[in-house]
Amino acid sequence: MASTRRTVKTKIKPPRKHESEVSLDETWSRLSTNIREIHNQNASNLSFEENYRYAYNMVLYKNGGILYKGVCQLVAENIDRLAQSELVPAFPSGSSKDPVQQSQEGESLLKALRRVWDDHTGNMSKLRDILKYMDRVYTKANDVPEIWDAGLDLFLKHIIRPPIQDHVTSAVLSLIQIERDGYVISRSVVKECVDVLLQLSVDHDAKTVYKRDLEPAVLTASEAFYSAEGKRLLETCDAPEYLRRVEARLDSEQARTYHYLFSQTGDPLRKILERHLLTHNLSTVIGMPNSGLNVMVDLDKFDDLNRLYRLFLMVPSGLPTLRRSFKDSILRRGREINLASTSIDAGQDMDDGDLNDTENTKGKDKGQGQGRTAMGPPTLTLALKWVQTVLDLKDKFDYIWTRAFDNNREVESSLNEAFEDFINLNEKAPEYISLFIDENLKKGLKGKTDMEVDAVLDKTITVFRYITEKDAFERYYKNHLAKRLLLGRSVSDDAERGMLAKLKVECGYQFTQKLEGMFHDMKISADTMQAYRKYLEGVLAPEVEISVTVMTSTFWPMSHSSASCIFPEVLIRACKSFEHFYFSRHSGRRLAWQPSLGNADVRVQFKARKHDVNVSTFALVILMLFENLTDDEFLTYEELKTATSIPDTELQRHLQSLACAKFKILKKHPPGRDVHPSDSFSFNNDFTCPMQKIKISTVSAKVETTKERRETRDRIEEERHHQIEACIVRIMKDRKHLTHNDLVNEVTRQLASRFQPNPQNIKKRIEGLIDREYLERCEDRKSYNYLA
Amino acid sequence: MVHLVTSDNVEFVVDKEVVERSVLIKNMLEDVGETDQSIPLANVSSAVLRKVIEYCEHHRGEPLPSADADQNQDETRKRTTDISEWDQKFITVDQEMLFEIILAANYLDIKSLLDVGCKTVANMIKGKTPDEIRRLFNIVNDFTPEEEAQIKKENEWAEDR
Repeated sequence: MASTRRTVKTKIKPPRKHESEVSLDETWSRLSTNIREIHNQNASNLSFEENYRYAYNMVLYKNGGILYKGVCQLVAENIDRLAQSELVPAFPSGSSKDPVQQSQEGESLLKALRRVWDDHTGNMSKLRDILKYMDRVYTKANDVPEIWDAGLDLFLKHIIRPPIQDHVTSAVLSLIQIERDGYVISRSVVKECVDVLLQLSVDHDAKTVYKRDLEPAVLTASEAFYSAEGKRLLETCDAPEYLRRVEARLDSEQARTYHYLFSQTGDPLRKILERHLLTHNLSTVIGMPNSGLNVMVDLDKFDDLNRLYRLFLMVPSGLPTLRRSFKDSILRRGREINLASTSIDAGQDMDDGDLNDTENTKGKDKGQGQGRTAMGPPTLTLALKWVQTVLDLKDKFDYIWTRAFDNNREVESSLNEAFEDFINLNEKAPEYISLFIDENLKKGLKGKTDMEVDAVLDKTITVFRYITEKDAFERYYKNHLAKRLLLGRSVSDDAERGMLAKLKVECGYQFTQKLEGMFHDMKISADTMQAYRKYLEGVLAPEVEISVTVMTSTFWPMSHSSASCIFPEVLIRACKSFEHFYFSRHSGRRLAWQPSLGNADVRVQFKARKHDVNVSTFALVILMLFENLTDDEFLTYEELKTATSIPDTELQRHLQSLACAKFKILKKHPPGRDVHPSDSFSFNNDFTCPMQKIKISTVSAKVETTKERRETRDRIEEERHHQIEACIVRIMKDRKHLTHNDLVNEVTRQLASRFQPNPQNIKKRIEGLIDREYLERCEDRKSYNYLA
Repeated sequence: MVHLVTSDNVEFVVDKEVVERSVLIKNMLEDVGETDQSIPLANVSSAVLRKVIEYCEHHRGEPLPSADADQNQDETRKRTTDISEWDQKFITVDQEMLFEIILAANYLDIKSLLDVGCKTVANMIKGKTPDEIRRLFNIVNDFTPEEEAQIKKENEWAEDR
């Protein structure tokens, strides 16, 4: 090595000892003076290098300990001095109650704290630079904190202690309180103070002084304030106002956190608000009389409702409370609607006799009918009104749901539940809905565009969905449809088919199978009639022109008993002619004539003039008996009955329509509204009417009488029995062996789309099937086996 | 350009980039700001400063080691005793100058130069007996013979025989 050679060659000179030119004491005294100058803000006059050198030399010559301790001492002294001169005079006196003055005192204290901090950090940063060598070499070796951290510790020890810390904390709290009371404070001052506390931590662990001391104080104060605020607001405000205030508080607290508290305080603070302002008071607010949810819905206060929704969504128990309230609101209104329809209905049932009367007056002139007894038409209008009100209710609540509740799924399900509940409470719901559709398809949709038609039908479908007894609806709909088709009352074929398509989508092919069959029949009949007319050109036509609708019996509801009667000769010939034609085209079929469903146009000569009268087939048969009678001759009820062999109920009805209704073609002796077996009838030659054509109808869509309803019910029940049995057999055939509960569950599930079967009924059906040896009971008496 | 004045009042004008290899000077410049005033270096003589500047010039542009070097980096740095060729030639100076350079590098906070110097001294010590080391660095033996015998015995296990 080169150096070894050199030492051998030349004489060894001891290396120059690097003693400083000055002694330790001298160095330290110069350095400490300079440090004091720094503390007095006179740093600009000093030389960086000089001080660095002093410190360097001290550490180099193993005096690092003295240096370190000395500097710490100086820093501590400076901090104390600052505290005395800046902070103590700024302590709030606590004597004034005026918030403005209080806030000013608080602010000046916090400003003083910040000034002290800024001074201190400025000094420390300068010291750090000149003491870099010490930090590098001495502190690491001796396991003491670097000078910067030591400075923080000193600050902590000398400043953040009672009484200073207490004053600072209470100043911050009082400023927050003043701001909460609505006054303006200087937010930046508080922020700066908070920043100071955020940078100080005891023992260098994760918890800053802020987190340890200030934050808990703030949270406690907030807790107290907001629990009182919650009570205060409940007492003084109504629901919308309460919600507005709560929202305002939430916003202001968020702003507060953002502007001058630490962001982590935001969450616990928010929770306090939610707890005291929302969670505790949820049901009280929503149920407030005169201003709660119900009133808001009544008055369409969408903004308030939306605010309610947003606030309630913030707490876990909010949404369930809202849903419950919402559902109750709907249910209440729904029940009112039901009540409105049933109360008048009850009156109606008592007066069945009158009903028949007024039904007959339905024709071109509804107005007169309404004047007589307010029973008949209003019953239909009641049904229509019911459906319309329900639709309106749905519209209203749908709108609220979209506008105020943000299409929330859970609220939607509450809405659906509520509607389902109250709609099914009304047992006439299936009938009413069918009537509504009927009315629309007969008249209501006239003049509407396709889209409007679609809209109305869609709405009805939504209500339809809510019914659980879909098979009842099917029955009514079939009846109404049959009448519409047969009497040609349907306003638009497209609309009919549209409705059918929608029902098919909802309920499946089976539901609409028969209905489609009915349409098909109508179409075939039209074709058949065309062919028949052609055929008539070649043969002798009967005197009476007939048009026939051929209905496949399984499709059409034979709701009215297929009464038959004795046709007059003329009619028989016409019928035979058609039959001849029909059987030439199709073999192996049987035709049964249904006089109860037909109608006829007949020209009747009265004394004054001729009128074209449209009557039902039965009425025609009756009238024809009077054809050749003179004015004085009359026929008794019994004679009429024998001649026509029309059953009593029908006979009475049609006689009523001819003799007791608006257009009295016949005269009844004695006159009166009801027909009795002792009456007799004669032709009313004196009949006059301003119109040339008149229509006497008996068959019209109406709400069922109680009797009819009971009949329909029974029929529905019967069909249900068959359905249940078929279902049971189907299931058992598949599974071969099932327990009773499983079987009941399975049956309920499969039939759910049509109706809700009663478990008792199912049990009876099972027993019936056991008797008929379709099933057998197992030994454990709980399950069943299928018997092939 | 930066002006440096040594203890013997010799002024050096150096490029900022070169002189900033010294962390101390770099900090000083940052703190004091752009000024025409020269920086006094009372601890360093002109001869030494000349050598130091020569070193910095040669190594200009190299990345400075980070201020808080990782412990790992420290370990690897200390373990290797190889010095680059130019550095070796550069550090071939008499012992006094060598020590001066080390002290200056320590004062001015030029880690790489400090390392080079200390590695050189370490290499000088490596493989020598205590007597040889004493002679090299002119250290007075202040052990009593008994103490010395004691230490020798204790350290026997470390010697390769």
